[in-house]
Amino acid sequence: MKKSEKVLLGVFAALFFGIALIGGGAFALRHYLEVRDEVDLLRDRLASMNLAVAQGADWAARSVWLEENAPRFTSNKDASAKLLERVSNLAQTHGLMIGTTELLEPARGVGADGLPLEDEEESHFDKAAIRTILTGVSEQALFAWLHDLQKPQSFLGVTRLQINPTGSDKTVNVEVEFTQFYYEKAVPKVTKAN
Amino acid sequence: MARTRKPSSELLLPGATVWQGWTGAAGSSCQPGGEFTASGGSFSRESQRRVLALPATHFWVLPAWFKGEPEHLRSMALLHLERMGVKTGDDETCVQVQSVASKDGAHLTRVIALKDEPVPMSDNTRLPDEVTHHALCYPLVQNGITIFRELGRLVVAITSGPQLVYCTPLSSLRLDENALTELNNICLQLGFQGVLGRLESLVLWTDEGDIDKIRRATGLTPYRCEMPSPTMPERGSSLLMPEDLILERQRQAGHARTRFFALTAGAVLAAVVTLIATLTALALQERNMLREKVAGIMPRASRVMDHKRAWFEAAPAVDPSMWPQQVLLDCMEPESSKEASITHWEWTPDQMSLIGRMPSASLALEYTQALKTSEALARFELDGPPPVIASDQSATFEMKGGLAREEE
Repeated sequence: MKKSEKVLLGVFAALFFGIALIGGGAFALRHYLEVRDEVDLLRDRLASMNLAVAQGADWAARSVWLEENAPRFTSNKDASAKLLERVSNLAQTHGLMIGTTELLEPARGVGADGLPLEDEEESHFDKAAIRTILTGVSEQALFAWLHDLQKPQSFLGVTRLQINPTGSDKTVNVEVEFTQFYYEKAVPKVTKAN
Repeated sequence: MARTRKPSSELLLPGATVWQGWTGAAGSSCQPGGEFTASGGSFSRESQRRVLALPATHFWVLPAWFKGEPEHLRSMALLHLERMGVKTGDDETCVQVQSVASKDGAHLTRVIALKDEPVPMSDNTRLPDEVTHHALCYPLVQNGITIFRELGRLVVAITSGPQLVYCTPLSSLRLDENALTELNNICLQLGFQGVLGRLESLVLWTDEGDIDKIRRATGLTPYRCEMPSPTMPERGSSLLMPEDLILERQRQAGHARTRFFALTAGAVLAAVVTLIATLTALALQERNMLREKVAGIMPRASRVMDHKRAWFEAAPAVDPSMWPQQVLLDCMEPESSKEASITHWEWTPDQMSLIGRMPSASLALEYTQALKTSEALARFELDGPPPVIASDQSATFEMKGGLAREEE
């Protein structure tokens, strides 16, 4: 073998081993980092699971309370009618004039692309919702009305509130969405836990 | 039984016909070791110090009188060599200069210069630590001439007092009339130069030569005896080193360095591979353990998580801390909020936005910073652009934020 051939062979061998080493090293390092990431993820998940299990009794008690106290309606129409009636009655009680009221269809979650989510988690409750618009109402009357409407036992909650002051006499323009959480059937809805 | 310690120094020198190895302690008489061929020898593995005595054919050994300071002897010797047409290097490894005697400010100086001859080593694996002249390894008779054989050639060594001042191989291969004539010429020449003192004796370390003829030719009574054992040179007595040995040493040092770097790189590589493999194995072990734990706890945790999801779904109705009134109160909590005029406030359980106006930019900054750092509002991760300053120095600010999905 000539000297030039030896040199060429040496260069090729060095290149081969260099590439093999760098490639193998990069692969091994990437694999290690992936495993580390998974370990970190599992550790976080385990910690949150342990915390959840530690608080299990509290959450179970709350779940029992929800099941025992959640109102039962025969249909969404029934729930919506009851919700509308309660909202309107209490508004009158506080001297508020509801400008517009709109029944809202139960909407599915929307993804970043604007399309409904396919794999959205199953809801635990049935919901009936309305949107009300009030114009130039007193702040004090508004909050008294909201306070009277929201009682934990009623399962009626504000799920959207937009306030824009009119700029005079402490009055505001308000857009509120109310949601009634309920169970449609007599028995609680089947959940994953069951 | 006490273990005999091997001599630490080894001397390789040209014998009468072949190269010989000798061992011994520095400054003392040596013991014979092995014999090699006439072409060269090699050092053994166990010796700690290796001395190579080169034959007279590898040196110029010249005496000369130099007048001047002792520290200038070397420069004068180099000029002397140049004048005589001897080509050699000018450092300590090529030329050794030693004052033998001094008189009236002049110094009788012995100059030993290496010739450019290849070093006769049959094995370059173990190189000599020191190189010296063969004749310097023997106790030569004072003010005398010594004739001995060196790898088949006759060599004559001449001393002034106890010091060697001249040594050269003879042209004649036998100690015959030609050799004696050459010896007489040498003595005549040295006498003309004034470097030869009164010769007292002539020693033959060889069986050759007719004693009567030698006496008649030289005028000295020859004394024939066995060649004595060599004396191991003292450490550092010679700094001479042939150039090819220096190059070979540099080459070996380069190879050793390359080997060291290659081994170091290999060791580092092996350590890195081992480290990554170990870390990966440990991480895999931990991952498998965590997977098992997660799988074990999953049914109970899943049930609890289901309860939590149900609670958070109904939270806008059943949890007062999640109601918009509470969030509005939290927005009014900072001290600077007293100066704020809110022009728009929108809330859902998942997000919140706020637009308002402040009398000054500094108040607006203070308020927005207070909202950002508010513990009660931290779940919304509020953020917004810098306040916009109007012509009346009032500032409009805007904050927006959304609930992280994980918190649910």
